[in-house]
Amino acid sequence: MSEPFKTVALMKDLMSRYYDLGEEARRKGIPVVWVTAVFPVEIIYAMDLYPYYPENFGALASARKVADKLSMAAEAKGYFNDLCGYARCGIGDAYASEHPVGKILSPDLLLCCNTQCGSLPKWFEAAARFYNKPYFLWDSPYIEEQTSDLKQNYLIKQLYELINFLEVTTKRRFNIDKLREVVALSREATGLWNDCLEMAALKPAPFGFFDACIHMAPIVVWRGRREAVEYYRELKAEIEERLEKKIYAIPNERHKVYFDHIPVWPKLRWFADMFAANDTLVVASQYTQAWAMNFDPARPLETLAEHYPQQFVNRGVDYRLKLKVDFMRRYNCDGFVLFSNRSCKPNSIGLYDKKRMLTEMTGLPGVIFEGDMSDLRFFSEGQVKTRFETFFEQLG
Amino acid sequence: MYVAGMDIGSIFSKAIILKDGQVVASLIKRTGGEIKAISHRLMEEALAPQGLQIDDLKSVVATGYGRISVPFADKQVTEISCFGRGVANSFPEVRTVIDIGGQDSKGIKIDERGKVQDFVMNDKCAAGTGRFLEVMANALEVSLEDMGPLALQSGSPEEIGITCTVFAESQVISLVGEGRRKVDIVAGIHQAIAERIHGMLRMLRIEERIAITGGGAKNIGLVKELEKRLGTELIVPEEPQLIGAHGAALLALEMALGRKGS
Amino acid sequence: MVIKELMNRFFTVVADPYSEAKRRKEQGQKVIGWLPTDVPEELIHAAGAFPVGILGSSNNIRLADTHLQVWVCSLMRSSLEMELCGDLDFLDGIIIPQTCDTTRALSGLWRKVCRTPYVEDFLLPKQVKRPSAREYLTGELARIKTSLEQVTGKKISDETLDTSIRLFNENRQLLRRMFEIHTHQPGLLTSREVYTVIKAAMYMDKAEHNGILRDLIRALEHKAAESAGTPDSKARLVISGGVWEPPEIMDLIEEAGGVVVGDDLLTGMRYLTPDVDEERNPLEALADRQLNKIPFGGFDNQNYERRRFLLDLVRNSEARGLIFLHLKFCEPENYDYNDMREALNSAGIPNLRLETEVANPSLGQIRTRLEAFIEMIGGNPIERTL
Repeated sequence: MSEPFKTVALMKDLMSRYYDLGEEARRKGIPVVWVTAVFPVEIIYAMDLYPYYPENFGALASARKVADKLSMAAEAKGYFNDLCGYARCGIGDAYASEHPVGKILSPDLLLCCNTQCGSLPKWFEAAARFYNKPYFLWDSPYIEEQTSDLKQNYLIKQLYELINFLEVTTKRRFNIDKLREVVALSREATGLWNDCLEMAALKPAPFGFFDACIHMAPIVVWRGRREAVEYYRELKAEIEERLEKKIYAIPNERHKVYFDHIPVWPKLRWFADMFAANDTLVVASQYTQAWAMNFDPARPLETLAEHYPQQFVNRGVDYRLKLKVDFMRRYNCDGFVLFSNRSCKPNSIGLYDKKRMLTEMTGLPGVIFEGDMSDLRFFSEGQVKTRFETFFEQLG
Repeated sequence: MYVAGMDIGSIFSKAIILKDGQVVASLIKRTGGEIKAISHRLMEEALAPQGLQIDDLKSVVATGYGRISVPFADKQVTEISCFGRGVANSFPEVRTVIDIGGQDSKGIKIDERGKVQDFVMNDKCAAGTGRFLEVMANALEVSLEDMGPLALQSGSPEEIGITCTVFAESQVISLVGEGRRKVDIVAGIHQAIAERIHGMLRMLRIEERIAITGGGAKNIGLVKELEKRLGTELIVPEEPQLIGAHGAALLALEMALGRKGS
Repeated sequence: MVIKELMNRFFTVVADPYSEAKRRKEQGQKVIGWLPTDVPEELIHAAGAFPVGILGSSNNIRLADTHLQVWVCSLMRSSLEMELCGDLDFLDGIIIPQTCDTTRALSGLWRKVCRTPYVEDFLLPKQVKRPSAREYLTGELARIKTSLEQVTGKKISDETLDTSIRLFNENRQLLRRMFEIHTHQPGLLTSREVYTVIKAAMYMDKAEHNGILRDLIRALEHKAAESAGTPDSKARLVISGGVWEPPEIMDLIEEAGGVVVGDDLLTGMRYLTPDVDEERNPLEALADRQLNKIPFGGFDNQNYERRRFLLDLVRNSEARGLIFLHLKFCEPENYDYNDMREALNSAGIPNLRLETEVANPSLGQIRTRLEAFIEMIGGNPIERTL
């Protein structure tokens, strides 16, 4: 991980403002709307509602190493530890008597898109029953090879159903021009985010994946608002400034690698240090790149219905292989890391074969490690270390 | 009138003889070899001092995982019902029983007569059972009996996650490899087992008072860790391993009396 | 006696599930398999192909472990194992439904590592209440119809589809009739026998299955009249979950003193209900069947239907308790569990959760739990003498 960025202070500010807004929304009676990370939040912002991301709560609890504590409260209710770690944090916090990362903000409405997985809708359904609030699923059929008119029509129809649902439940009017503005802001922020990520391709690079993990919070929660645009403009300027001053992400970059997935949050620093100690910079991940979307504000609903459901996690094997290979080429990678994440079946099932296929396609060495993005009870440090030592030897 | 209860566990087998409802003999032996033969030998040995034979028993109830292989039993009842019955006989105030056996650990909710209201049992994985403790004791080259007292000596237990026995074993071995203190590892193991059992118990609505039975009850380290988590003192019967056999014997008595009546 | 013989036929099928499929294959008919759950077999049948269920097996899982993590459910690991072992070489194709994250990911993997020539997805809508679901699903069924036409080379006309629908409706009606007889007089067939008849329907030619089933029903009706009034000594139970695997579970329930009189299983009631409306446009009618199925963890059940459904099921079938039969690592079931359990507890319905795996089960523990549960609800503890 790089020396801390100046903008980190700005981000902390921005994030506490985001959480304050949640409290304020509750006080003022502005509906608090639970949304999933890959959801057209632009519609929520266009209707001046407050979007809350329970997955962020999961990531936060995981990074603070309390996922197991919260999970136990969920497990005691019969949500066993085979389920997604984020869901166990969110459900656990609802039942827990102690709240080590603050209480999860309870919803007035719950909106979910199943592009990411089938766990989110099940979690949100359970939460909707627990909090006794209305729930809406934006159902996004799997795209094996290409999307179709059938699917796109279905997605658009559901957006109209969603808008109707929101208008009825919140008694607020939806305005398409407002949505256009929000989508334009989203596009500007995601473009800037992409610019930041692209700088990891430079060698040596001023910015890498672990930096991106730290700086991604605003693109998730502030996307669609001017704050996100301003934040990533600042961040981009700082990265450029660092480049000029020759301040790099790691002191002695010799190798670049692609990291397929989400980080192990409670071990973020541990991983960052291990890679740095081996002069290896993690430069890209489809995870952090997921928010580098390129919306078309002229067709606001259509563009949302295209970008969110067509995320990598909702795509077939060939598309996903090509995406990984493209990243490795674009960022000049020397190897790749695949994370078999017990909490995330859609990203993990099939990785054993993909490792072989990726090596065949690129000639690069790869490593798979087992663990959990959230829960350290499923992480064996010694075992993971051994795998990576071999991998670093392969990189040379 | 003589009746008997037998509890054939995965590690130990136990027998209890009642004469007119009072315990007159009890015996514990390691389970090993063929269960039919063991149960015969065990019962004969328990009866010998009374000058009795198996045929003199009015009724026999068998429990434990080997219950279906006791040839002279009149009836088989699960250890869950038997432990409930056995505990209620000595401690009618108990509402929750924690039984830590060799293969299984269980939480049992009972009423004042020992009738089972609800129960939970560990999943297939042995983590949280006597077997797990035995595996760990072997890995650390500590005798099983010493594990509990050793755990109490640690001031800074190692953190050990046990979601699975195999995982935990490799973790323990690597801690040994790193030269960590044995007492701290042992204490960590006890914390982890207690955590696991406590997690399972939370699926029940635990009510006081709580008794602990089975071989695990003889492990002072485990009892202390569980008490810490449950925030209450546990009732530990004098012979915690015999409770199941005692419950079985009491059910045998009921059967015998019931038959007399009919 | 007659019942035994008829049942033998079904047991033979389940023990060697693919002999009919292989025979058809030899005769030149295409064989299209399906993974659980909800794949519209009528379309496969109308395309002139032979539909057959792929439901895992009791064999050990070895080859699949190099492709799937051990924390993937054993139903899918075992089904993949069957293909990798060569047990499914007779398949001309397979349709994989998107019911959970595992089936969704498995379909891509199947294309890459298996020999099955034709792999198609059934992309079910996951919300079933809004108008968009019906319209999309009808379109999706039309897409699969076209896809099947291409692979079999046979056009599916409305008439042939109607004929298939009638055949499959009849099968469902007969199965429901058998089940009804069973719930009225549970001693006539054992729980395992009842469910074996249902499972056999997933492997057999439906016309043949209907024929034998009709004979079985006649024999059961006859015997029911003879033995009417015989007291039912077993504890009536409902089962909730995915599949009744391993099959020995049914024996264990009976040995512990219970009998299964209702379920919401994929290899049970979900397969037999509801019928397809024969009066309507067949694709729309098939879509409606799908949308009107009993609640299942894989689909949006926000309106608490599943809880209400289970309570009603327990009451209507006069059951004394409910057993959750959950496959280890099955997420949809686990996410629903707490709410279902609490609803049952509030209604005073005793319930027990058993976690099973398709291959390599530990039956000893399951037996103890079942016996303790039936002892607890005051069922009839077995008096076994050796």
